[in-house]
Amino acid sequence: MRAPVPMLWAASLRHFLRHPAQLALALVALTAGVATIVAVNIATASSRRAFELSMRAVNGPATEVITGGPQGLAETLYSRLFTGAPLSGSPQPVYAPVVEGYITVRGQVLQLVGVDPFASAAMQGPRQAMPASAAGGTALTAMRRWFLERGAVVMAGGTARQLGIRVGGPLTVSIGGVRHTATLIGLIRGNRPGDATLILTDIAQAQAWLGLSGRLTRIEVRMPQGPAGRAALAQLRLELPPGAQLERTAGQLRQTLDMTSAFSTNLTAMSLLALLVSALLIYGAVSFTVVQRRRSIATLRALGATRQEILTIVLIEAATLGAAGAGLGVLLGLAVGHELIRLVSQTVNDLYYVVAVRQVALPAGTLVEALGAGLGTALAASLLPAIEVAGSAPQLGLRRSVLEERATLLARRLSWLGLAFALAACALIEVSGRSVLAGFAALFLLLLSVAAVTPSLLRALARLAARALAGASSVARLALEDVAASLSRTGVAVAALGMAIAAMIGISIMVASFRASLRDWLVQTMRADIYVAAPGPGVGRPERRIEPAVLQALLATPGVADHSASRSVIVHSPRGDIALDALHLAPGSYAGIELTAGDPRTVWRAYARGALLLSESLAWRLRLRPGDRLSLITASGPLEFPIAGIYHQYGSGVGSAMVSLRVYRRMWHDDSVTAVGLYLAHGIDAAQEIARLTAAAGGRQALLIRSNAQIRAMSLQIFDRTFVITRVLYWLAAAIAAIGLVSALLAWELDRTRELSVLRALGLTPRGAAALVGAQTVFMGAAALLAAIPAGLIIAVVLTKVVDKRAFGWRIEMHLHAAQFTNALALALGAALLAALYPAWRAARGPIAGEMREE
Amino acid sequence: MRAQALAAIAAAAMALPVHAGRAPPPPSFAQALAPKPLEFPRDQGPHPAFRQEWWYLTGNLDSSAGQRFGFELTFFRFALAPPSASIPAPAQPAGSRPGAGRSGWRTRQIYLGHFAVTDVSRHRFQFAVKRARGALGLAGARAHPFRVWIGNWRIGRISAHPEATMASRPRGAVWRVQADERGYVLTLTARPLMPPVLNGERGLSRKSGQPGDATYYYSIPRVAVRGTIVRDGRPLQVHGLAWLDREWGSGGLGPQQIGWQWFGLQLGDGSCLMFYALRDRGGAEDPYSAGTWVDAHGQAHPLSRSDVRIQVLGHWTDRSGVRYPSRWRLLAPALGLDITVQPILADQELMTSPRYWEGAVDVAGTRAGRPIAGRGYVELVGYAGTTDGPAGIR
Repeated sequence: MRAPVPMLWAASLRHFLRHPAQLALALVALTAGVATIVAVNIATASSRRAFELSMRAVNGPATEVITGGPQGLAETLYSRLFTGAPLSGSPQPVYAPVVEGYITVRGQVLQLVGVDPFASAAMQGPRQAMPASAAGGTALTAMRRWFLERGAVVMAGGTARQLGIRVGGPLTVSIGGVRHTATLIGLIRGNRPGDATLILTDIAQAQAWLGLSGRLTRIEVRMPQGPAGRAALAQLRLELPPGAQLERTAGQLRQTLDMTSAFSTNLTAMSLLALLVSALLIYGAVSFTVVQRRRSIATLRALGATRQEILTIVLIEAATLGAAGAGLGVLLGLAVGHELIRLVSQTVNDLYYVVAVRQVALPAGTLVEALGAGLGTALAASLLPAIEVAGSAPQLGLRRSVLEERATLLARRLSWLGLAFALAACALIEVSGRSVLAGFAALFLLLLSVAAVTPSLLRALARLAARALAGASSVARLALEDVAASLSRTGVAVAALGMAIAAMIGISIMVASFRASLRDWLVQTMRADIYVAAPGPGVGRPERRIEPAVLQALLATPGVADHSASRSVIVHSPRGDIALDALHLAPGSYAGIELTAGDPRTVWRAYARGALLLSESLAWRLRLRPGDRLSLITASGPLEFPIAGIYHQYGSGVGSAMVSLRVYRRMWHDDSVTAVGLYLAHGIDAAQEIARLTAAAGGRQALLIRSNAQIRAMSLQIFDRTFVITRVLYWLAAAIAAIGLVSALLAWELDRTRELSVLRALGLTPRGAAALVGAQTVFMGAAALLAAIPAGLIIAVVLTKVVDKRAFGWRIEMHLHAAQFTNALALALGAALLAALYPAWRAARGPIAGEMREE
Repeated sequence: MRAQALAAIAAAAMALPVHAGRAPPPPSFAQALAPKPLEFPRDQGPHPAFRQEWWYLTGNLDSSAGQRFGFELTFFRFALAPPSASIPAPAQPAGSRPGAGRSGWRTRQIYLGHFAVTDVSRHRFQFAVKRARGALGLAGARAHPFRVWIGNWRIGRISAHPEATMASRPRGAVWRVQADERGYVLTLTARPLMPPVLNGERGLSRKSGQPGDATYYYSIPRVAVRGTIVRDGRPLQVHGLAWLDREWGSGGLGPQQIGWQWFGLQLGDGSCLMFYALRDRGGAEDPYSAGTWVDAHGQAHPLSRSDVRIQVLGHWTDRSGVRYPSRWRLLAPALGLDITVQPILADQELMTSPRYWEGAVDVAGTRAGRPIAGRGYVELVGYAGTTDGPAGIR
């Protein structure tokens, strides 16, 4: 005889209807895991997309771009290309000059783009001519104002509305701390998303504002396709002056975005951690529902349901759960993603390039990925329990003891697997060399090994404690024996919690160590008393410069004894763009630079003669050592610079090179100064001196004038901001684990209310019953914590010494502090107590007879 | 004539990615109010005190293999403000740099170029547009040595004697003419065969009853050209006869005038006829229509509206339904002239904004009873609707 299939489904459905909390909690865990993936995807993709759009918004169809060094290109290059083009009947390249910089309008960073409207229109192509506005008269008026009116700008309608600026209205724009008045003469035609962060002006105006008289930021090129294009490209290469670079626009975009790849990898790893935790929890939930239904399943088997059918049912249940979790996860991820975008773009702005995200990008693959993650996780997690229950003989399924025996056996096997994982992680670190991805893989192996070992550890601890307490309290002994005997239901939840706590401890230690190392480094490096810098967004932006007259006034201010000066720019090299710090060091500043390679006796002499010093990150990334050479594109073309030494520096992780300011000025023809460090004469008060310096700037330029201590605090603030996302994500993973524990414990406690009723009938007081339940869950939390602490330490070591080193080349000293463990402690015990509340309350209040009647 | 410069310049404004806002008060330009002596080479060059100006070279060419071509190469200059006008500048906030930074891109002069080739044997008419500001050498004009250019398109003197002026030694002046577009590259040497001819009242050409609606206008109706057309990569030796029109002013057309037909015809006996018929909104011919007859000795005789009668014999309609006159009979009884003018290709329409028709034509007929033939160029403006036409620009 066989059970009809509809009956199986009815049984399945009935079970979930009777246990909605169970289902809901498993769903919450999965939803949170999927949501994390979606949110991280959205946040990173949106900031990338925003950057791409703003790059393409100006002269979209450009195929190539000509760029120069920090001072850009001579504008005569454009006039030469425009007027000197060979006469030809075949399609010819189109050139469009751009002068660009960042500008702050009412607290918001916009990209100031100076264009020549004729060149830009030619770039768009004759067939895509922009639609005429109203009558010819207004077009003419617009042209007059665009060309003639000082400060004439246009921006997208949405941006103007958001900033509260009307057409015709004045606005104050700030560039490198210098304020200018502009007039919004019109709105950008059309409504392309990339336009939202642009403020367009005539190229003449942009040159004037950005102090780039005679210079262009870049020349965009639209090359025709086919042989004509190839010939024109070859010809163009011959005509380029030394110092000019020609690259494909796609390549330029990729290079900029590559800067953030290590950062994105970090985020993705964190989101995978969240999913891993939820996978374990789904395993727990599914195996628990299976265990709960062992009787009905065994009955169905006895009625003739095949293993195949049981397996199918359990897996379809899991798939339904997975799909629902994925769907809800996508919705939640979309909501969380918005908030995460803010955090991600803040970090990107602090460290890499300026981006203003106005649009949420949902990468095409995300939905598939989320669905795959949800379904895959649910199916993978339920496969083992499904096979187990389908494989058990009909009558054995009725006995729980068999199940627990199996769980104990499994736990023992798992701890061997955990050991294998740990060994594999070590081996992976050993053989993978520089791979960041392998570093993360090792990290995940370690986390899995923690999860694998935890159930055995829990059991061993419980039995040990039970033996120790045997004489003292029979209830305590009973409670602990019970924990040891219920591995099938509690083991997984505790494992998930252990893993989340381990990750939390590891990340906390890493972040705290990093922060402490940064602080030490700042103390050592920041030698001057006061730092003055041109404000503005972006790193290495040429428009961030102290006005020469202002600089003179600052240095002449009484109380200033000595100074260091720096110019921070991005220069081209055959190996990609390099952040270059050109420094004039005061005698007191040398001690602030900690050399990690290179002979300290000869380094500075070589530096003065033109050699480079590389930061650890850059040296690591480009695999360079003292004695090697690095080619940089100077104003007169590529030049090989010897590398004198490597220095210790924390920055964006991309790294930078240091060169003498004198050498820089000669090689790049740029006399600007981005920042100065001022050494005060003996007995001068820094606060009073800052007031004097501010007065000396005389309202000509709003400079950032900060004391040594303020700079340090600011740097640490940026650091903290950078790690906000990390914190958010690990709390998310922890929250998922906590939900899992609560759900598992709740289910377990509810399941054994009958046992409790027996105990109550045997004389256990309500308070005693509550204490029993509380003690059990707290014990489980403590066990998770115990497993997590050593694992967290190992993870911290792997993060700092392997992952960060490989991703950024940073050297981070481990700093251990009790505070790093308090979060973990709070989480473990908090989750356990929370999980105990309701069952404890029920255990104390539950009627004795009612629960027993079923027997 | 050819005052579509205004409209064309307005079209250049379409390149701006802007919806316009409020207009500033119009500054004042120099006005063409009375005749004044034109001097060469000075008046070959630009007149930046006037709002607009153009150099207009059109010509008929034959290849050595007998293929027929027409070409148009035009440079428009347009001033956004008179040189003396002060430019409105917003008040600077406290702490800002007043007038900070200079830029070589600042200019009030805009240049626009049209280049078109009519290729009869291939039944092809092709045109291109080029725009640039008059700064950084991107585009510009100068009198001595004469040169006008936008990018690599140019008309400029290549005479070995830069001190030689066109007026004093017209036959010594040689220009290089060059322009390119998809499929065609034109390089010519051009040699004026006669001194400039002043149109209207000693060079002052009135367009309406409004005092400012006038230009200074002269022509060199016979310019010998010789050189090559590279068609689809193959060079063809060509020679022929071109016509240079020079005109500058600050006004436009009268409010009732919507367009014109312009004829520049070089006849076989060495004489030339220039005549423009202004059209009113009602379709009637405007009283300010006028022209110049240059006899075989190079002597100029002004023509008024009543001297020339134009009959339209046929029409051509473009793909969008715009209907242009396409065949004419011109009668000038005082000159004994009775000719028909026939386009060498029906479609010689420039789909610029605004659209206009500018094409090479053949002339056949009689003068004083004897057969006469010739060639020339005709321009038709104001047929493709008036919304973006010249009248709307003012």
